[in-house]
Amino acid sequence: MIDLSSWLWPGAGLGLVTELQQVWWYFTLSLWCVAGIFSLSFMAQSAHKGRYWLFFCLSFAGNMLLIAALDALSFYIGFSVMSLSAYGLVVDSGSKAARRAGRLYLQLAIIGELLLFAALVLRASAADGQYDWQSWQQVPLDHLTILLTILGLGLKAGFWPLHIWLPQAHPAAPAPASAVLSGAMIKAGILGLIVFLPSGDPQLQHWIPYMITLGFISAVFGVLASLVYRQPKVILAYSSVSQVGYIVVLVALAWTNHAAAVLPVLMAYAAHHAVAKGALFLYAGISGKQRLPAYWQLLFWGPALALMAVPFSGGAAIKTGLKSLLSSDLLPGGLNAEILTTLLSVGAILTALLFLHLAVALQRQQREYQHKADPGLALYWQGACVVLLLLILIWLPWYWQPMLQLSQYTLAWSKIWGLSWPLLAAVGIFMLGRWQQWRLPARYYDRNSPVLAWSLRLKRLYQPQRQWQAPVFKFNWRGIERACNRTATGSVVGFSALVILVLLVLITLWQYFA
Amino acid sequence: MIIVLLLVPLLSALLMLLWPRIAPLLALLSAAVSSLFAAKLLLQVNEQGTLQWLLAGWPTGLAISWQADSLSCLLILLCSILQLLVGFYAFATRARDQLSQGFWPLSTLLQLSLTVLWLSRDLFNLYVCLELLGLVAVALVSLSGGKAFKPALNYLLLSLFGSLCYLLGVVLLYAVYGLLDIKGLAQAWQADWLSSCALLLMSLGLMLKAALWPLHAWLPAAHAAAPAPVSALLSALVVKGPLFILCLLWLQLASVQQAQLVAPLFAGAGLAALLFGGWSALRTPFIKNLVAYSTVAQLGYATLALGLMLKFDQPLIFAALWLFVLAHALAKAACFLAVGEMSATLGGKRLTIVKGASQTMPLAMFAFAVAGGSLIGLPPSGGFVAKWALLQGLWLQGELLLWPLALVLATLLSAAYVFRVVVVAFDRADPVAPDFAPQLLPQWLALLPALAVWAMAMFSEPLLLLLRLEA
Amino acid sequence: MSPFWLSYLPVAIILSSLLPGLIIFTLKEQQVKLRISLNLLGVSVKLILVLIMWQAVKAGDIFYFSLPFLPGADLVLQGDALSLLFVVLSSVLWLATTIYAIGYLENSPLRSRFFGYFSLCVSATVGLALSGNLVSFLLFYELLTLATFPLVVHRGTPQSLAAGRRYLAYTLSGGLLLLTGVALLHSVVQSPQFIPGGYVSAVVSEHAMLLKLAFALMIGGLGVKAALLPLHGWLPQAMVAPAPVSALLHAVAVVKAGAFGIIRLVYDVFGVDSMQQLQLAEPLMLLAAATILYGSWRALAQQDIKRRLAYSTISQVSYITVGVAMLGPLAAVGGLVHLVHQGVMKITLFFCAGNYAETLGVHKIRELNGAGRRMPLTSAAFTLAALGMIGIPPSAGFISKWYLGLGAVATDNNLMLMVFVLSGLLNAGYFLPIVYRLWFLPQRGSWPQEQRLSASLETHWMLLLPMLFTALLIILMGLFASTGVSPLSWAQLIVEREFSYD
Repeated sequence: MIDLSSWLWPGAGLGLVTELQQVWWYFTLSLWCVAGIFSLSFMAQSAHKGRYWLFFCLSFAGNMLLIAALDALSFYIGFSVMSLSAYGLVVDSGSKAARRAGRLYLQLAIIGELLLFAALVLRASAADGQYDWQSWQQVPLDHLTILLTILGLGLKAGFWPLHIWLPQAHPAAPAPASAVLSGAMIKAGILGLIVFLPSGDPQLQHWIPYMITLGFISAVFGVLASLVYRQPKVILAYSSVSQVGYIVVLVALAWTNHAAAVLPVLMAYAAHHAVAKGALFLYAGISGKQRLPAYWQLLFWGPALALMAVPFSGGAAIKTGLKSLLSSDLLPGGLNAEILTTLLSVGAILTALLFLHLAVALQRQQREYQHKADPGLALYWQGACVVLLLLILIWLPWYWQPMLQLSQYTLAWSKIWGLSWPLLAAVGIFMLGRWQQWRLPARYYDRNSPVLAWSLRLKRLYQPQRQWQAPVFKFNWRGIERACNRTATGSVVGFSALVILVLLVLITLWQYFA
Repeated sequence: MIIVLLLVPLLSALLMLLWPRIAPLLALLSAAVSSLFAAKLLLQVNEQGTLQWLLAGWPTGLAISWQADSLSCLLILLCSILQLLVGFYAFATRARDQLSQGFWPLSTLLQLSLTVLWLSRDLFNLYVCLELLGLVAVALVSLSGGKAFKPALNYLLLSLFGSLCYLLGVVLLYAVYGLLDIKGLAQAWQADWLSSCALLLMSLGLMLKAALWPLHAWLPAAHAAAPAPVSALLSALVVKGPLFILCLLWLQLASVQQAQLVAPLFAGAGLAALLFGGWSALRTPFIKNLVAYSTVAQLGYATLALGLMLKFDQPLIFAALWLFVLAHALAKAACFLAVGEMSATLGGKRLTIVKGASQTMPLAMFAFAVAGGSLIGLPPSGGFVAKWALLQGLWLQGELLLWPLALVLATLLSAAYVFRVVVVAFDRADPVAPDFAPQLLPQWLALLPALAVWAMAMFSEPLLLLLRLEA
Repeated sequence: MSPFWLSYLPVAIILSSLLPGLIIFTLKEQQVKLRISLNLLGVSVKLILVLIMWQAVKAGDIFYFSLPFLPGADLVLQGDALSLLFVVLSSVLWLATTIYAIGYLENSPLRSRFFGYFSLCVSATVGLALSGNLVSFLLFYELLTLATFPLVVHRGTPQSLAAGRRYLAYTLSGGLLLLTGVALLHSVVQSPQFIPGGYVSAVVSEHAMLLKLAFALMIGGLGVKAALLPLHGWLPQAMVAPAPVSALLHAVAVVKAGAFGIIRLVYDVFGVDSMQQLQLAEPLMLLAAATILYGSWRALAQQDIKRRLAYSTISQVSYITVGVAMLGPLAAVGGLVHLVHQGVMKITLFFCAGNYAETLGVHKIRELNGAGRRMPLTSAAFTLAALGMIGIPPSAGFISKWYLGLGAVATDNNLMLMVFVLSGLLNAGYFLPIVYRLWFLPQRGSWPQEQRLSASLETHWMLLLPMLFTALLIILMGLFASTGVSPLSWAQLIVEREFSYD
């Protein structure tokens, strides 16, 4: 731990003190590193290489800083640096779509930034000028602070209904950037929600049921929305929305008094999702550029299956963990464990459906390329990066202590069945759907989101061409003056004598009567 | 010592008529000597209190008596110093401006008549001074030649008319009381209808000569037509003479009821002068007229202060009145000299001739601006101190809103007309080229009184003390 | 006890810029070297003197010098912690601006006059900072108006003359209001020295109405320079002045003079207790808040770079007023530190705008497309300062907004917190599109009026160096805000002294 309080502000410090920080640090670091290595080859042809790397490194630094921060201000600095420089990654291609998405991203990032600022100020004020996490743990929250924090960080975390920038920004950004956006940066918001809002706070407890509801809505909504899009990266983005929904459920559970039980699952979920989603985005990037040999599909199915939670995968472990948490007695009052576990199963079916849908989309994309690409060094380099992530994904559930316990727990037959039937159901539904040609009318597919229009309207609001002007009153002084001058021509002597006479008479009379 | 102050100008004026060739030298010498003696007199009065002389030792009431209090001394000092300065200016520009030989004896006579005026405390004596002053002033205006004859004639007519009015009032008073000495009159004073009429007649006459609104109509033309040194003297000193008498009349002679009755009239006239004079200055297309109208406006402060003084009888306001007069004298001299210098060098009498003057004649322009600052009342200038004293006096009397607001308005107007010139001077787009290389010495001479009026603020405390004692 | 000559230190600090200024007036146009050396000599002497004073004031000394002036109101120069904040700001930024102006005005006419008035302007500013009572303050306040006017109209074009007229109309009326207010207050309680806690508390109950009237008048007068809402009209117009002048007007001299006056008025004339008793703070705060929002809102629609910056100044300066008007120690720290931070950030922005205008001939925002490639350093500095203005950490702007926010919460003014958030959004709304054009849009055609001012650098080094210096300050002041040399720590010292009176 590095203590900076003598240099910077009271309580300033960097360090990986809690397990939460360590976990976040390592998965974020690995994802950024792999994305960086991937970019070396993937962005080699880009026109603005310097700019790309500048923003890449800046947001990388910001992301790592916010994780290692031991105080709120350092976190806020890292957070701002990260979210603002990520704008440079989103608009990297310079295309119209990218610029539109970037505008939306930046608008929301700034709004989030300032909401978080307000929340921080309120919190710091309540903590009497202390900024470190430890002191903040002791200080009770109030509703305004909670609301502002959830909004400010939620805009980064991207759960429903704050997800609106995700499906726009992810497809627009280059693949490695989307990988870190979705894998690492979203998680920064989640991390913030945990460290800013101390578990067990009495006011916070009122929010838990709503957050869990939000989480589930997000989980379901993400999938349903993804089904009407055919662009792989959009589907992946919606998948993130859905997965973040589950994470938000976990975060809400971690706000109860039983944080110790929830945090391992939460960490596992975050790490696992980060690596898997990173791998998928990288793959989507490769496959969006050229026709790949068929066996490359392994690189897709590895992470996809993990996220679909097939037995023996990391996904299976965390889904089971989540399920056991929901059915246990740490649920706050007012929530029905049975309904939630059923929802979880429905969610599993939906998740599986999403990835099947994604697989089809990827295949459709591949078919557009007529000729096979020359599998050169660049391609293998990029493939190797995905493989690296895949290896981490396989390693995670079996060699990493927190996940190992969860994984071992899934090895029972009943669990395996519990995990498998939703998948089978999903496959069944999917096949049925394809056979029956279940389709919505074409106009429902690949629609432009209304948020782009809102963003444009907002832009017109802050870049107005014309504004109200104070009215200018004009009065013809000169005309009056001319009129006066015309009447006042005459002999000076005569005029003065007249004035004297008049004054003499008037004042004498006045004096006489007064 | 008073005798010296009177004899020196008188003798030198006579000698000038004999030896016109050394006239400038004599004029400067006499002004310098008078300044020295005036300063000495001021110190003496400060130490010993008010001094009185009776000519040839005759008893009070019969003899011509002179009284030197600190206000008179201050005014004498101011008068002689300005005389010296303007003399220098006239001397420095004599080759260029072709000022007639008449200027030197006339200006010295002007000084003489003013000095006597400040010292006199006798209605008839004052009349004589007034008459002399008017005639000399008219003669000085007419030095400009043919163009100036009409304004000079108007001035002469009105001046005589004013003197006549005054004389009429004096005669009335003499007929009733048989006295001309102010102190004596004040003791015998009865606030009846007749004395009111006499006062009114005298006041109107004096107002006409002092160009107080609404009897100011002759002033702009006359002052604008006169040569620069003459307008400086006229504006700075001559109009103050009748004002002095006016103050004497109302503050020492008139009874409280009479004073209370006319107080709003004076204050109103002052305010009107400030507003209408300021407006005219703001609109006139000629630069010297602008400065002349500014005199009309600035005299409004004095009238206003007189009116308020009559109403409230507050020593601070009296001090403010004379501070206005002092500051205005210095500032206006600087303004007229600077403007005269600019219009001579740049050629023309419209306001537009100063276009680019901040570049071509920076010193003169600076002098104008600095003097203008005092006219506006920017700190730390004499005008500021005067305004400050007036405001403080008003507030001490609990007068919160109306008059301060009027002062604010008037100040804004004066700022407007001063900066009207300054802004044009900074117009670099199409500067007016000087007809010949600008002379430095006259510009410095124009700057001197302007700096003096700012330095005056540094001595505000003793000045205020001194003037408050006089009230 | 300090040695005898130290009591003349305030005078020496003023003279260190006044004398070179007066000498410069007399120089010929071609005496470039002499002029530059005089300027730099003045700056260095001033900085050394200020440093000496800083050390002493930190140790607890107060400098005091007086001359007799009006009865009951001497001409007092007083060096205390608050005045030093402003003195240091103006001296350091004077250094930067002088160098910048030398580069900017190279080969342009009338430089002697320009630098002469420039020095006068700084002398007036420093005098204003050091003035120890209201009458001396008033005096320097008016002198400042007079010294800046020739700078505003320096170009001598019809627009600049119109701007100068308007500037004068506003500032002279403001000065007059101030004069009336000061005179009114003088008639009630005389004009003693500024003192923490104020000197009116004895007469609050007796003369409440008069005090309120005087306060309103003085705020009206100071509000003109501080560009409070209905009195801000001169500021956007004054943009026609050359860039160093706008930089000086906006960052240091004029607007800050108003803001500084408000600080003095609230803390050292009326004092917190009297302000509360008279209930004067609330209206002032609301007015300033309205100015913040209005200025930002108007800035959105401006298409001229400097005009947009001008409206931004209107908005930003009112942060100081809000901080002061909230009457809490934390808010006061925020307001005071913003006085410095805003100065440094705004001067950087104006330097950048000047660089674009001088090097590329760019005046409109839409012409800035792709300027980041042609002038990377300038654009980076601009970006940094703009982010600082929005309040993005770790820039200096964040620190001041942070303390203002804390102050707002501490004094139960959550409404103000909302205003800060909203204004931050608006700031982003008018700054980020410029940043976007600089970096993310391709250049459109050729530059309007390109000049190659340097062989290897993007522009003349004298234009570059001051800007980089101030840009660096933005970051340093933000990052090391808690160290002993930062403006923040100084502001905390001031507030400690201001709020610890009895």
